[in-house]
Amino acid sequence: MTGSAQPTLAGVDDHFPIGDPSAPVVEADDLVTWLRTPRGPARAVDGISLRIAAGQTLGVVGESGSGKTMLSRSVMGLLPRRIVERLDGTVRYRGVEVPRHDETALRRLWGREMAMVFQNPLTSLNPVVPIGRQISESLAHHYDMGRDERREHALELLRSVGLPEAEHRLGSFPHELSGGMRQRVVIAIALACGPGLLIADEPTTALDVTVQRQILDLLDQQRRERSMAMMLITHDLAVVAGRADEVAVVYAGQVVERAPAAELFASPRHPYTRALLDSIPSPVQPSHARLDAIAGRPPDLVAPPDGCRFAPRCAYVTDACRVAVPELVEAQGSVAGVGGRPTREVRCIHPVASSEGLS
Amino acid sequence: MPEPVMPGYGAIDDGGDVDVAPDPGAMTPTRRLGGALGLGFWLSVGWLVAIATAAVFADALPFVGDPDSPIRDVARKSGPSLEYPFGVDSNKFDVFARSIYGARVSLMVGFATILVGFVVGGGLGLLAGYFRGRLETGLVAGADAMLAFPQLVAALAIVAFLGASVVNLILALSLLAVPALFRVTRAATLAMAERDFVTAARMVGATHRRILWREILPNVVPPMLSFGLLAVAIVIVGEGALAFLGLSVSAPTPSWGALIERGRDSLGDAAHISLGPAFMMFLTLVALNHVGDRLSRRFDIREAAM
Amino acid sequence: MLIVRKLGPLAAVLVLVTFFATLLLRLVPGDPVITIGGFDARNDPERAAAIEAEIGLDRNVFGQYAKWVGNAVSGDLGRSFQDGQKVTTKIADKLPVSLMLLVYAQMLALLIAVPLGVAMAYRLDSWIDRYGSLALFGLLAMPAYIVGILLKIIFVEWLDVLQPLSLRTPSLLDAPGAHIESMILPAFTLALGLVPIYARVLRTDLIATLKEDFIDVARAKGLPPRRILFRHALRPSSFSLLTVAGLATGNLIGGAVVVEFLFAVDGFGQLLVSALTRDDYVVLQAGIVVLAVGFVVVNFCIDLLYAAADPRLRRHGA
Repeated sequence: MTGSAQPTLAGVDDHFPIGDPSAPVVEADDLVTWLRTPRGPARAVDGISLRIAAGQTLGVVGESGSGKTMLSRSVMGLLPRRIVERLDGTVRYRGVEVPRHDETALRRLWGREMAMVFQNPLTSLNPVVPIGRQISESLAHHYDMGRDERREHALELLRSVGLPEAEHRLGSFPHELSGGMRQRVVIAIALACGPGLLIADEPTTALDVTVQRQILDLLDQQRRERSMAMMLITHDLAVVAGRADEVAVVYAGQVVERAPAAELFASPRHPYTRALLDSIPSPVQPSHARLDAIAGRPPDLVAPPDGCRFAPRCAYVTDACRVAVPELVEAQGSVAGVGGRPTREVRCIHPVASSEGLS
Repeated sequence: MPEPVMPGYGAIDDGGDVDVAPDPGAMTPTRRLGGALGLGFWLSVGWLVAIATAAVFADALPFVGDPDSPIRDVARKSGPSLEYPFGVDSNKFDVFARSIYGARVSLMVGFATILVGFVVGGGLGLLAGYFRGRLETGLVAGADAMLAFPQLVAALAIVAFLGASVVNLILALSLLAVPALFRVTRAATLAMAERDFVTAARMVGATHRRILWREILPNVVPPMLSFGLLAVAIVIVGEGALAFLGLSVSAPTPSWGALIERGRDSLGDAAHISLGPAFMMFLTLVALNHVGDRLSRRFDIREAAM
Repeated sequence: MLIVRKLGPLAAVLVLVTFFATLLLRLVPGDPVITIGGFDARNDPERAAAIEAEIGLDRNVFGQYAKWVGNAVSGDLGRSFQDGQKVTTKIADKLPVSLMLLVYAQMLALLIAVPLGVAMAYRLDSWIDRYGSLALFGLLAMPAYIVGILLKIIFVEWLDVLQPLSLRTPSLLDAPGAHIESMILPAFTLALGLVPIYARVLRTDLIATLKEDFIDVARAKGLPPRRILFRHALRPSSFSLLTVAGLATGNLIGGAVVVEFLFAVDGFGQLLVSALTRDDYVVLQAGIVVLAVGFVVVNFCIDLLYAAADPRLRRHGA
């Protein structure tokens, strides 16, 4: 990479430049997204950086209210302009900076290079348009494909997402399909143009338990086959186990811990991560054992407390914790990773030492 | 988690990710100019009071001239001036004075019709909503049938066949008012009848009559009122249409619609003959619409809060 | 199934209306015999009886109604008092003009209201939304006769663009230019009465639709706003508009009377008005019935359109 300014999208015509193939697919630095609310700006995303390489999955975990969905939308730039109070930070896609304030330029990326799978398959599909059309629509918009070609492509996509009787389904309407099938269609729509980044925002929350696994497996398979970077957002740590390469735990608009998945589960460093892990019901527990919920209420994004934002709910809190917001620093057990970046980071002034930890 | 209500397209279905629930205190716009109801509201009310008073007391008001005697020292059809704000028509009548007197018929018919609507339609609506059963089904069917019919045609038919008197006019126009107010009152009554305080009154042994009169009616009146104002506007428009076609009463003076019609042959050289009464009518309709609108929104919010 | 179910109540309304119209004939003040045949007719018992038989006054209400229905079904709606012409002829002559006026008005109204409504919903709270709403509110407070007068002043008097016309409205086929010239102002007047309602209704529905997830998904596909608005958002938002347009059509059939009167359009409305002023009750009766039938038919078609527009309604028959 030369020292000159990064090329931007503004001057690009139709075909998105490949950029630097060795760079991570997506790099976000110091993303800040504040939303306008009647009580004041809500700091939904307050300084988050992340990197995802091709073929890798980043799991983003957090409670409702932690800002994780806003994070995904900030990365893509898919925010309704009217409620955004402040938008800072940079996003680079394949090394090329994404013009986050220029919606016209962003639209060239959406669907084609960055795609999103939404949470609720029932409401994600237009009820009055046949699903075949909904899939081929992005093809029609981003590429110059003839109608038969698009139909073929849509058919292929439906098959590859495992929709039975794909031929007959092209003309079906969403209400004629089950929840799992609809979500497959939503995934097909997202994959239509072969994006380099797929963001899956709680893709299984609205589905039956039996179907959830199938959908997650499908996403995994597609990621591998297409070498996509994937961002998997969920509040459920169990979803992320075994499927993510790296996990970022988000609280109150900030990343509080980041680690390779296996290490995170084996030895969490942040008290919040620890609490999340503890609250997962385990099949080995005796039945009727109490579930450990995390005490306290979700953070107030409009008026966060001084100091560590998890302090009000932390079992290990000390006075020092309330003084200033801890920095995200290299955690114990981290090694030098890609580009000199540490593999483990934690935002805590006395991180939990091991899974036994302080009682 | 409350769903954030954001203007502009694209809801953030964040599953309650970000808590942007508005603070309930922020709902009351007390800091607006003119208070909670707005400046426009009070201006409208002011206009309505003014025009109604002027119409009623026109004879006594010094600045309202005689609508039926020609003015001597002015040319025919001359335009607005300080002395005669709406000018003079082809018979040298003072257009402004005629407009004020014209308000009499329009407003009277308007309010009288709505009054009939309140009493008949409202009364029946109360009964239907409270007692339910076959009475209600029958009344609802009747109201729907009446509303399904093109109103102007019905009004035309009645006035045409039975002649144009004030009574007939009110009758014709109340064909619309009665079922409409029936509907509104019934809906409001239905909502009220389920409320706890009604059940409580019943348990204490209050008679139906007492409940209707003491508990339900006072709560049903506000939405009826706001709708009623809007209905008055519609009736005035209807009467204006009939008058325009020459089917309304013309004593003591022609109403607004007729006045407008009379000026239509002079639009080139004396447009003020039509525009004067038209303007007055327009202001009145705007005022009625605005007041009715504001009031209905106010009562809706209170409903929701309860 | 669906069709039959809808026809029931509509047929009932039809019967009610036609009966009502017949009834009114009996309530007329004055003596119809005199109106038709002059004063002498009352003094001549044979003639009086003949006239009464013709109108149906020799029987009771139900008999009269039955006779009327019998005649109507076979295409005989009586003869006009004024000129003795067959009513059916007169109606067939004037009705097409009114229908065309109606169609033009609806087209114009939609042409203005749809883009306006879309723009207002998409750019919520912007200047176009605020001033648009204000303008629409003002328009709503202007009855057709005021709008018509204003348009006349602007276009005929000031701009001198369109000329006030002759007695007969030129037909579309014979003289298209003159036809348009004579129809455009009345059509526009009617349209402006519809625009506030259409635009408002569309705006409300669109605002709700635009909050839906599938709009977000469309946006995430990278589709341009225009496409999202018109191809995705508009259709699910058009149900209220359709309903209102249908109701308006039904009402327009009658309400155009005023506009036709103002602009001297030689249509059905004019026919009604002249019948009114000349106490031509037979024509009036027939006219009312035609209006009601039109209203009913239109509503029925609206229901059919609903089923076509929303595939979800097709199978379950709403």
